[in-house]
Amino acid sequence: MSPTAFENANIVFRNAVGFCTHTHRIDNFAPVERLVCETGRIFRILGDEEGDLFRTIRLKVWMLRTTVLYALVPFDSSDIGLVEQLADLKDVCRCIPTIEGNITEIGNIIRYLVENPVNPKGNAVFELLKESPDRGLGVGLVSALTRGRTPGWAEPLFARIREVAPRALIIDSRKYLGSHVFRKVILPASGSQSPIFQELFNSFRTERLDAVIYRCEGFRSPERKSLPKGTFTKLLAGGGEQPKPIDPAPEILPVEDWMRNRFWNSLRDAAREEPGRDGQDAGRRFLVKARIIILANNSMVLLPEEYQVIEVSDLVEGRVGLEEYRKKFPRCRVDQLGEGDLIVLRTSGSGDYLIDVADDIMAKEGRKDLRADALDWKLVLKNALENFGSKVIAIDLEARGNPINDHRYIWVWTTHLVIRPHSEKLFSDLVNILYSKGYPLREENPAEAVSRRWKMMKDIIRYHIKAGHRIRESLLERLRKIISSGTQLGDCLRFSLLSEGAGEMAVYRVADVDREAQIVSYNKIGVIIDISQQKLWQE
Amino acid sequence: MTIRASDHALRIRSLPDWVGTLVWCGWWNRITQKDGVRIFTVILLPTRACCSALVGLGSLIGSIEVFRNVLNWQNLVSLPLQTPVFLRHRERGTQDRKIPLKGELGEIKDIKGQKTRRIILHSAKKKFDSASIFVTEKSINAYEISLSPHFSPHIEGRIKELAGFYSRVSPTFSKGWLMSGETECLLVTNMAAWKRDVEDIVISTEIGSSVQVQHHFLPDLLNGWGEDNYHHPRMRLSAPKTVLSADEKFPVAVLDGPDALRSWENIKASNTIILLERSEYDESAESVILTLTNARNDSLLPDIGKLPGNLPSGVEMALFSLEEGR
Repeated sequence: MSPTAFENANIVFRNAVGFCTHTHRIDNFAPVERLVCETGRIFRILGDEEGDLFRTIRLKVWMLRTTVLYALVPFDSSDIGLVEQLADLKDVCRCIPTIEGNITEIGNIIRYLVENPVNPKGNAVFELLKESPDRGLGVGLVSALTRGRTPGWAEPLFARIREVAPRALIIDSRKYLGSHVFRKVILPASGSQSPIFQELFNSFRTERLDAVIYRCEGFRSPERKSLPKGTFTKLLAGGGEQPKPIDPAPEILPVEDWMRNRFWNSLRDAAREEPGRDGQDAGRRFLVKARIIILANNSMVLLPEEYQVIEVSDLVEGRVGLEEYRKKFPRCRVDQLGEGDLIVLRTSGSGDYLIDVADDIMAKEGRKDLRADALDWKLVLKNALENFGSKVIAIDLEARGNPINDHRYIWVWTTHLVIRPHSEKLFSDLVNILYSKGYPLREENPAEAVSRRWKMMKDIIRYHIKAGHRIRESLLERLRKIISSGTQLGDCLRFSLLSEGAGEMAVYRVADVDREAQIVSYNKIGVIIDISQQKLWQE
Repeated sequence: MTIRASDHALRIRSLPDWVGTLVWCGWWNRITQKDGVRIFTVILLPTRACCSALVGLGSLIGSIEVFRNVLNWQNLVSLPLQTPVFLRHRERGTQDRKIPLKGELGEIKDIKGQKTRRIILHSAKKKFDSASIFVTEKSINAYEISLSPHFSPHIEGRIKELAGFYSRVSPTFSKGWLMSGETECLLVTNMAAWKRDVEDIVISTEIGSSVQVQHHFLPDLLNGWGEDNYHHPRMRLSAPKTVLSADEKFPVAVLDGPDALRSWENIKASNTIILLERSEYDESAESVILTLTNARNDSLLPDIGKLPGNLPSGVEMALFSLEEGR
């Protein structure tokens, strides 16, 4: 019988009483110590250099170093591709003479590792797994060592883990950790780059945490925030004896710091639009507040902060049954997404999936031009907004008794996010303003234009509802197949629903979500970008 | 008496200290209320799973102690003329069958040296309509007089079960408390996950020998006599995004997690309990708690009474007393 939430909670509170950490330190493994030094030096030499090339170099240096630090397979394994990574790095660094010496030294270290492939960390971790009783029952191994996919961890490694300790569980996300309890958790790193670092120490899902580290990685538990002084305060007590912290090598820090902070900044810089002073552009561009979502397959997407995406991790990971999703799709606000969530995104086609499916239904019913006919006013409005700015149109609307809280909202009417303004009167006033400003629709008479389009837009809404039902059914059917076939959902699972013309969707695992919202151009929303590529946006 | 908490398989044999602490916290917040003062209790926990339900249970138990709506003799004689009341009249010749009746309070007068309060009945049945009952201090319990209507036999059955539990945990329990429609506790949480977490929890009470063990599912205890919608009963469940009416005020509100915490300024409650997992205590949660610490007025905290000696490991707690309106 699987433990209930209450029993798990009871174990967690019990773990809190005697929680302890053990470190298994690998001393004197010179190649890793030297690699950490050289890569750290490159970061120091590059200093504050910005730009796509430097971002790419940093990312590749970080990737190579992290692969070596976190890999558990022999260093000559094709699964981690050290030789290919080195060649790639050399290629991008060839025009930067200041780091030539460091790259050569890194080359020597990588060659040495490939020729002497015994991986001491891998051996230590597998030793711990082998000695676990009951073939690993109650043991967890943390695979979420970095944000995104952990370098050096590929399917063959998981197969080997399953072979050695078939009952051990792989902890790949905060959600997974939070829904299980363990007798022992093995952390094959210092954890400082892990997105679940805090939880490993503070959520007491295990009574014992075994960290396997190279000397240079260092080891210390995360800072534990206490409540501020209250009228009455009782602070944390208990917990078992903790080992003495081990300081990391000084070269560890700049790389981790870059990954933690400047990596985000570089993404933000590339995404962000400088909003002109309001008086300057007065809403001539459509800018939205969005979050950067890093996906586990090393890609990213910008999604509007208040937008709701389909999130299916509870279903796929067995926390809820399909029955719960019969009536309502599981949706999550973008600003509430967390690492480990599984979100469904559109990966091909012209736009929103709902629109494509609705168009498909319209075409089959002989109304393929309905959308173009009904929504031609959106392009006319967009042209008017680019000319006058949203502020001017908002003032005119207000004069006709339609107050608009934020004039920039008018831009939303030019998109597929909403089909039409909420009332026919508002739409009529908007169309009349367009006519008065020299932006007429096809009809000579604005009233006729309004009444024709309002009816057609009503029909479009009906088709959207129909499409929504069909998508839900198809998606549930697809998810049911995924679950019943036992398909492991890795970083990304692509699939198409319904007819060919409806395009492709994918379930992506969220690796991280930017804590800050950025003001971005609307045309960047929803575009999935490979962040290991040099150019983030080709405008 | 022993209280136990367990899952449905009754695998946990004694009441863990963390359960006791959380029930205590709910209880204390319900009994410690002072006009013009709001108390915020922030608790950092290793896990929030099941915790808010236990806090809710504590607040219900606490509400029994402060319940003042029982129509005892003193209440009955102090109410004004024409106050509508509900009572149950035993049918002649039957042992258990009682007829629910409606009426209004009449005058107080001495009859044969005994003080009585008259109740004038209103009924569709001729034999009861406009008839009078003279209630004495001795006979008051026989009529089950209440300010709210009596329940159907089905609900009565549920109340009987619930009364079994609450009468064991609170010496001041009265059936009137169960019948009252007042919401004692608002719980803001992710409702689907909450229901999944608590559906299996069993609270057992034991007096003397195991013959007298009673088991109750926690959701039933919290739900009271209502159906499964958590809207009527003593504890109201609400999603973080639900907009509550501006004039609703609750004796206790429990904000379960960071999403619920975001609504802290919109919820009117005498006392508020904020539950966060330690890892959820991030910058945005910290900024709310700092607001509380800055606005606190330590002199306003009522006597906190006896606190549990030590909090369970992994738990941290702070109370902030604020002037109402701040």
